[in-house]
Amino acid sequence: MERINIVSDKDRLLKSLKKLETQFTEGKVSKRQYSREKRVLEDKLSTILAADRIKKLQGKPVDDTPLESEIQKEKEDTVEKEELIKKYVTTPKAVPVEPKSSGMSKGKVALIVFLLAAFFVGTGYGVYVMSMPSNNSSSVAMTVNDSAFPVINNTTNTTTNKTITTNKTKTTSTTKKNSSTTSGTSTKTTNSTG
Amino acid sequence: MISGCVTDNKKNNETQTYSQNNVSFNYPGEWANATPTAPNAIAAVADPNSVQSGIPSTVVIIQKPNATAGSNISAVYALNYATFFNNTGYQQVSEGNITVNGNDALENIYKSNSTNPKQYRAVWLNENGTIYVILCIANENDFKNEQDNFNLIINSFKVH
Repeated sequence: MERINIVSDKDRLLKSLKKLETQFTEGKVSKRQYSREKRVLEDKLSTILAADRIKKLQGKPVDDTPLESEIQKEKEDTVEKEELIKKYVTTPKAVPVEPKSSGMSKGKVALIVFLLAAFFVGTGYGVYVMSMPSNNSSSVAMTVNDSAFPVINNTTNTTTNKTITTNKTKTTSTTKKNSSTTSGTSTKTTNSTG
Repeated sequence: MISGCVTDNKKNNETQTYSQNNVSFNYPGEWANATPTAPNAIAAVADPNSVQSGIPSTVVIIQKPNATAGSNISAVYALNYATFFNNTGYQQVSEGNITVNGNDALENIYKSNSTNPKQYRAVWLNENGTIYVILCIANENDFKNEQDNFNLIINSFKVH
């Protein structure tokens, strides 16, 4: 009976200790509380172990459950879990955005600036030329010799002393079309000789 | 690279204005001032595109014969053309009374008998007692097509 109680107490204590370890790992208990309860449990277990050693010395059968090995094994599992987490669970690192090559952007900017400047220079020159007054003096000089009062030279044939006169009477009437510029009608009678 | 739009303001049906010697008139934008040699000419414009052998063939001359100041326009007109076509190398085409800007005027159209015949349109105006003659000249083949340009000048003619 006593042995069953010791074994059951021992198992219970081991489980409680294991549970306490788990709670401490999960952060459910504070370190202070963990230390206090652990000390209590370990004292009880040490008492039980001491009883086991006495029984052993007495040659009596003892439930040789290694307490410390269980705890150590639990600790090792926890450590192993933490190491595995650290090894395989990583937060993705932010990929640094490399700045673009400054040389290419400068060239594009320079080209755009040049094109804009050329556009505005050309447009401004065109506007300036269009606004210039017409310079007739720069055009080709044209001389006009015609006149409404020309010097008329009557042509007559004197060498052969022959004058041919033909009388043609032609009556024509012309009617001018009415237009927005000039309007009027005229009737003409022409006598042509020659 | 030069993207400026350079255009000649003389094109695209734009007109120019002549204003000298107390007269003014509009003429086609592509035409230019010319130098008349007639002693009583006060203005002349011509089409540079009609220059042949250095002489423009499409011309408008404004003449103010001083000897006719204060005279009756019909009388002066008749006197001028009395023997104008008598063996002179000119042949009359038509003549008559016309109206220019509401005022009576006389018009005489004739042509030359040369190898490169020209046609002439003389419009006689009486502006405040002073006689002005607007003589429009063009090659016979171009004369009809130039009437709009001639009418532009005749109808915008003003004495200041």
